[in-house]
Amino acid sequence: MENAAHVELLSHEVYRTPLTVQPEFEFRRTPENYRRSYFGPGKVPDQIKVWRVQNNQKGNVVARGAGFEDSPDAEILAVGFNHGKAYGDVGIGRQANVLQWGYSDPPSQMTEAGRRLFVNCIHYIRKFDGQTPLVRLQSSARTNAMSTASFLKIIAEKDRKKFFTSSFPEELWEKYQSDFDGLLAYYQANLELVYRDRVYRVDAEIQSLGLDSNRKVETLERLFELLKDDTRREVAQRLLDRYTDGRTTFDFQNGRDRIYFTDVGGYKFQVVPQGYLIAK
Amino acid sequence: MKTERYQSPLWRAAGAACLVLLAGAVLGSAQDQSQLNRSLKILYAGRPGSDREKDFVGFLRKHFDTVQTGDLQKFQEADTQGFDVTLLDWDWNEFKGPRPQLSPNFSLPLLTLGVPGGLICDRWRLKAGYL
Repeated sequence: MENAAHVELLSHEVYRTPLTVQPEFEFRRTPENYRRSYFGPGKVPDQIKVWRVQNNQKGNVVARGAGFEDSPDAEILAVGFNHGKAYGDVGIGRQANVLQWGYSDPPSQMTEAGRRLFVNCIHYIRKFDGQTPLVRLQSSARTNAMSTASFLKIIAEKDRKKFFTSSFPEELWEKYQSDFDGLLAYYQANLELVYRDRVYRVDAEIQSLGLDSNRKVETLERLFELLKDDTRREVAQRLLDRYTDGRTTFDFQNGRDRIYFTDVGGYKFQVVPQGYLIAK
Repeated sequence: MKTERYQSPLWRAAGAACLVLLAGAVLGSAQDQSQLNRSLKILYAGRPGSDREKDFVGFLRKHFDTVQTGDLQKFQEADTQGFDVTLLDWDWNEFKGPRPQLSPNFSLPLLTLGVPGGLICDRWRLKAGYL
């Protein structure tokens, strides 16, 4: 990550409370890696509006943006401008009681806006006293299937099959070994049905039940209903085994808004505990 | 000649505007400072005696009344007791820094910094882990 952050999240309270953060904006040429890792809507612009957090260009670190906010305990506070990772990767992010500041300079090397944001982050994380993470990393987000597909083109030919089969089902190799754009389009078109079981798969069983997503609460509710249907009970149970931990109970009447689906937490439906602070 | 120039209405208006802006900035800054919760108790666990530690601690003491230091190498989660926020830090861009372990139910506020912080989050299998 370079020494700057994107500007999209400046309306978050951490930029206003207790100190007012007033970044100075500049435009930087869009890194090539952004073009490989952005899948719409539209295209990335030729220049990215950023603000400088600190002086040093090196020594900073981002976290993976894909899936970062797929559980209600986590939020992105600053997207890190970077040349090595992906569009949307996280420069400053919080999960439960832990806030990671990915910039490496000490305060004397921060800009005034950077220093103010740093002070605000200390105040902000204080609010999450008592919160533990709801999710631990178990897998990677479904959009990584697309990033990986777009990456295949730059893998040396002799290594491609091994790389391919480490991320995608072997049966797709025959069809897509010389059509990586086709592979990308396949995952993009079926994104709502992707799950990861060692490799990224499109869930044909969800499709076979006429459902359009594996991560909607409606899908989960329907799977429980289908347990009463003799002809579809078996597949419904298999899908419930795939997408739940088998222990969590789901209250579709009174606790519907607390049910969420996490890719990085293992492609599972989970429930936010009562009283858990969600800062969105 | 010079005196006449600064006595012109235009220059007087410009001067007055500058004073208003300056006063606004000073008042704004004072207002900002009054919003700070200086009573937050801060623990900075880093590399003892390093310039980086001095830099952070000097800055933190301008904003918080209680700032204590600790050694990340010897850090244990019990060290956070009595502090509102704990900062975990090590040398700039250091890949071999300490990576303390925490129990899964640890819930006190933490701020992790830079590459060492990303690696610590990675060890805890948090989303903010080093990419």
